[in-house]
Amino acid sequence: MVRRLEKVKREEPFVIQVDNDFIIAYEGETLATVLLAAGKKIIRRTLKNKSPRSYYCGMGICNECLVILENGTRVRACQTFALPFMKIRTRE
Amino acid sequence: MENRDFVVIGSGPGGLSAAVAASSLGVEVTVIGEDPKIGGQIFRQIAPPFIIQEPLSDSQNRKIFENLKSEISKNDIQFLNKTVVWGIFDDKTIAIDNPRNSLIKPKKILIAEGAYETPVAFRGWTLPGVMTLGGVQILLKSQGVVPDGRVLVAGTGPLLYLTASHLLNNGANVIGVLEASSLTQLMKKAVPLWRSLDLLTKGIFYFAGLKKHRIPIYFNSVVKEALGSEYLEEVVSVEMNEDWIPIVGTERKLKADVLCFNFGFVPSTSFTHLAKCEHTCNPRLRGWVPKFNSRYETSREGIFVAGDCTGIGGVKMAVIEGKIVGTEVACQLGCISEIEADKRQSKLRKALSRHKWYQNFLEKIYAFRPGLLKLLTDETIICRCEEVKLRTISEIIDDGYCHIEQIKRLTRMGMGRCQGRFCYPTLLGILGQRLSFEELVSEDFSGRLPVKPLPLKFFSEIESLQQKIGNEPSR
Repeated sequence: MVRRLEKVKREEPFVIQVDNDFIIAYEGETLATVLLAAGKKIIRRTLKNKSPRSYYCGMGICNECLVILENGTRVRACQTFALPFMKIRTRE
Repeated sequence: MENRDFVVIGSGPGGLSAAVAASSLGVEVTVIGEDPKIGGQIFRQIAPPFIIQEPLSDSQNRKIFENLKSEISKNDIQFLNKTVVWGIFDDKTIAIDNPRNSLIKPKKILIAEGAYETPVAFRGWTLPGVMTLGGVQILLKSQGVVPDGRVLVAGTGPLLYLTASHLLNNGANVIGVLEASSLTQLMKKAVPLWRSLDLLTKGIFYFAGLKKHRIPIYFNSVVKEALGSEYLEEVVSVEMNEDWIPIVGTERKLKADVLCFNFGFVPSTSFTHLAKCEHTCNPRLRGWVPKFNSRYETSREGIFVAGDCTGIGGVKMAVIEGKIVGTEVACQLGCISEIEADKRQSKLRKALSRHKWYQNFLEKIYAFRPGLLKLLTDETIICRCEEVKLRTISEIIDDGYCHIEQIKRLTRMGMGRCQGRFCYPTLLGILGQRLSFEELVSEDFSGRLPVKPLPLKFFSEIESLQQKIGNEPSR
């Protein structure tokens, strides 16, 4: 859903695990950016109707982009920076 | 627990300027902000460690920010970045998440929580690919990415043209702009801009840029529906009359991958509500503003407000309001005399009145026109978090429950993770058709802990937390 601009200089890329996939991330990127740049348009599904949701407000107040960290904590993907070896889940 | 003189919540223009003003007069100041860097939404910069040759968007307020930063470097201000405030208790104790379960006990608090984009509900607004204009700005300015595929920009006002231009300059495929107002309406409203030639030139420049790129601007048009099974595939726009009432039969289909929209801003009142400050509902803004006196002190003694959370006024007003608060806090803490504070504040208030026109301009541009509510159908989701549709809300209202707190309890609307930020504005519009203006103005809701989501395990520690402050959390 988003494309990285080439004119932005980034450090060396690393890989994070999202569900069963490995995707590329750069230091400074939020999990939301990493997911959208990898073409993962749907970030979560609602509990009630399983309706697809994704990046919406970008500033940490709508809570639509929640993902689950390895320790079970739900975090807002737009406010959480990607780190090497991170493992996240996008579904229960 | 740490004792501080003055804690500022929010590191945008209002918060920073208050911090500088108070600190330069000898007050011990702590500024708490959620982002890794100061500046808030308006001064947002590229995330470290990214490097860019020039800013990815024209930062109109860069100079103001540079001035603030240089003032900050001359003062000894404590900054707690990447820190979420999740509670404000009755005795003004503030709970933060970093480090976990820390408490700060300030003598004075400034809440400068800013604003967010007015949500406008239409069918399909929850689909992936539909996002706020601000969300797109953040992706570009701070993350160095642009939306891929066909991008449609919608809403009303100058921000549409600015963002569309930034996107075009960075290679995005902008397929059009849907402007709710007519060109004449837009021009009429832009008249006050002669006061700021800078803004006017910029506006014309962006407008011309879109023309040059042959980007169609559809005036009198609004998004009727966003379609797609799993994510956005197509947008149906509809033309509207001067009151923004959709005209049947004027629908237009546009294939799009990303739809970003903005219909103005609504003051953020999560913290002022949590702190039990008194509020007034402002139906024009489709939200609430805290009540405050000429020194920006709220109904709760020692708790102040500044910036867009007091009403949408932009950066320059926020900076002046912050200075008024900083001076007042210094005075109340005995750093300067009342006479000196009065002198400084009356000067600042004069300066503030010179910027009122801009606030009026913004209010006119983004004034809510009830015609937009005609876009709602029974199946439109009003509350994104709890997935409450208009049908449910209408039934409750037809049964005679016309107050926000009643509707909240009966439908769960507003009880979700966003805490009503994205449904109350629409609900206020709906209630505006049922309640008198006086009734609407007195509508209110109560804030709840935690303001931002926290892991549950945080709360298993809340007992020890309560013992520490010897107080029940605010309810």
